[in-house]
Amino acid sequence: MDFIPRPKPPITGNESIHLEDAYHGYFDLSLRRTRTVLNDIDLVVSRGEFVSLVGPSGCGKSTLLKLFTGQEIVQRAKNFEVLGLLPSFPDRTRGVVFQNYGLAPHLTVLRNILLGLEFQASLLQRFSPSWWKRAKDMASKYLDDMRLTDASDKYPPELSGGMRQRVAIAQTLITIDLFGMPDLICMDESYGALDASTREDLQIFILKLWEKYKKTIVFVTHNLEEAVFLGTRVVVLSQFWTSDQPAAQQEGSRIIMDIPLESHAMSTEVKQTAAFKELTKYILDRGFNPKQRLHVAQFNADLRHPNSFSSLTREQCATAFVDGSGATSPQSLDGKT
Amino acid sequence: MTELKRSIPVFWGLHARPGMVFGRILGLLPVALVLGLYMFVSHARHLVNADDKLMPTLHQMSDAMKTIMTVPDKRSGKILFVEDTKASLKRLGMGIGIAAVASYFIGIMMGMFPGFRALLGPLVVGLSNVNPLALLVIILVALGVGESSKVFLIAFGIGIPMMRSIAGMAERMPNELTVKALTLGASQFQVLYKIVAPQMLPRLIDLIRVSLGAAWMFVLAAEYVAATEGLGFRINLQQRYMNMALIIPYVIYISLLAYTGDLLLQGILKLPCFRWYGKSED
Ligand SMILES: Nc1ncnc2c1ncn2[C@@H]1O[C@H](COP(=O)(O)OP(=O)(O)OP(=O)(O)O)[C@@H](O)[C@H]1O
Ligand SMILES: [Mg+2]
Repeated sequence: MDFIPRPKPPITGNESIHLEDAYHGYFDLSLRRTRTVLNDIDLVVSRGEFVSLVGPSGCGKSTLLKLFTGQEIVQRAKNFEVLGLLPSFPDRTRGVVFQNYGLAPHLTVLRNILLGLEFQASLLQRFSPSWWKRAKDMASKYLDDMRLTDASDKYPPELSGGMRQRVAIAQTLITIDLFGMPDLICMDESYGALDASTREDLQIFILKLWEKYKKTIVFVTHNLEEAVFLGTRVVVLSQFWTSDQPAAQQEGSRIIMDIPLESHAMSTEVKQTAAFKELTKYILDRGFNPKQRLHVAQFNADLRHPNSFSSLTREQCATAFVDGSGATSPQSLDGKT
Repeated sequence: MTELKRSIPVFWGLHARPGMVFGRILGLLPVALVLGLYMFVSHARHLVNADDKLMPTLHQMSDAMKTIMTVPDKRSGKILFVEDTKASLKRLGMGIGIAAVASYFIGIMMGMFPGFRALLGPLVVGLSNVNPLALLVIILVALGVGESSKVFLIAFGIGIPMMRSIAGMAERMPNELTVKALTLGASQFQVLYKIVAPQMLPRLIDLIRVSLGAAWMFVLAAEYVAATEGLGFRINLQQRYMNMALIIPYVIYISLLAYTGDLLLQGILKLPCFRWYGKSED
């Protein structure tokens, strides 16, 4: 099969994320040049999608999220819009739950959960007792849902890893309930330190929240079952792929699979069905195994999601990586290159 | 069932546990030794020369202290011991206060705002390498021999290094925390005073503790050179008369004051609102 550029879906302006021909990397001292981490990423996410992002460790999932939240500026891309704008510095429109928590150590669990309110409450709200009551009720509901009621007066350094993670989740999600913000939520292995039971609880919890508010969620996880269970779409980013080109030009990760998922009626029992297991196994085999690399030309077959696209031809894909001196380098956003 | 027991050494080795009482006794031993040695030598010297001034006996020292603590000065009519203490502590307090406030605010700004850091960084690094004591004469000429020059010496001497430390600590704060706060809707100003500043407060107190020794040194140095009262001034004055009977207790008194200050600051850090501080973080 040949590598045929797959057309871009029509852009309506209602996308949460619109990323085209994006390259990003970090300077590598031993190579004395930028080492590409994200190599030609094309991704369009409509508003209200629940995207599960999976991939081998070190493939650049966190890096991709950093581009969305505005912590890093993409090095080269033809098009990059998040919520209709070139992503600026982090703000309240794009929420994030970090892989390693990021809690305020000097505030108790309760105060940490109320942090968003402290920042965002308007003067009117600050002086309205009924609003405060609602906020307090919401906070205790979250404490309850996150199984943190007993820990509400503890400080983050006094918590276990999983507890901290739950505080970090509550911190971000409660602002949706109270302010309707953020519109895009990036969750980076947010459930990584949770025990199996809490984890299932919180899976249902986030699904309910998503059903209610239809915010866009990008959910990074190392648990394929979780990815397939939660998402409306699973995107596999992987550095394990091959092409006919020299090894140096294969550096960096690409989206090698993009699969739409069925709705699952919020029952964790669906995880036991044969189809479910088959899909997770398929992703595991083809996305995560360094020995079974997918050839570039096969990507097209796996980009099943209607929003997925791939703009480079086989020749372009050969020369395209951050420092590649390829003649076909896409324009950088700031007009250099 | 046999009782499980193993012998634990009280003094020797890695596993020794001296215990409360024996531990205290151990600690007092060298102190008693030094004291005893002093008393012995001083006694021996007085046997040879009854007017020996170099090593006064405990009795002479307590007499000298009693005089200065109870008998009002002929000229001013005040108790000199109280006046000295007040003068020195006031200089110390003002110097430390100015240093703390300035290093806290400017340090946080430098740590958090790269523009501010670029602006002030070189100056602060440069100044922190200037020895304040070498500067003393210039300070005296510029600010006069009054209180301001002494306060300035302390504030400058400990404030600049503290500023550097605070700036460094604020800069090293995990970036995730700032990003998280911004995504929760914080303004840049809110990040500063709700996230960074409260976390820097106990660190500032720790820095003051570390700087306390230097602060005392600057106070005494300034008082040696130019003052009409103060603990350092008194020591310097008595030195002319070789009045060790007063100087030695004064040195001990200054040490006790310094120790008390340290304990006080330590006590502040033990307050419940700083419970989170010093615990291992993620
Ligand atoms: N600040 C940085 N400087 C240099 N290299 C970096 C930096 N951040 C990430 N990298 C590199 O980029 C690659 C992707 O990192 P990233 O953290 O995005 O991986 P990840 O997919 O999130 O992995 P994991 O699943 O283990 O969290 C890694 O090879 C990493 O070494
Ligand atoms: Mg990561």
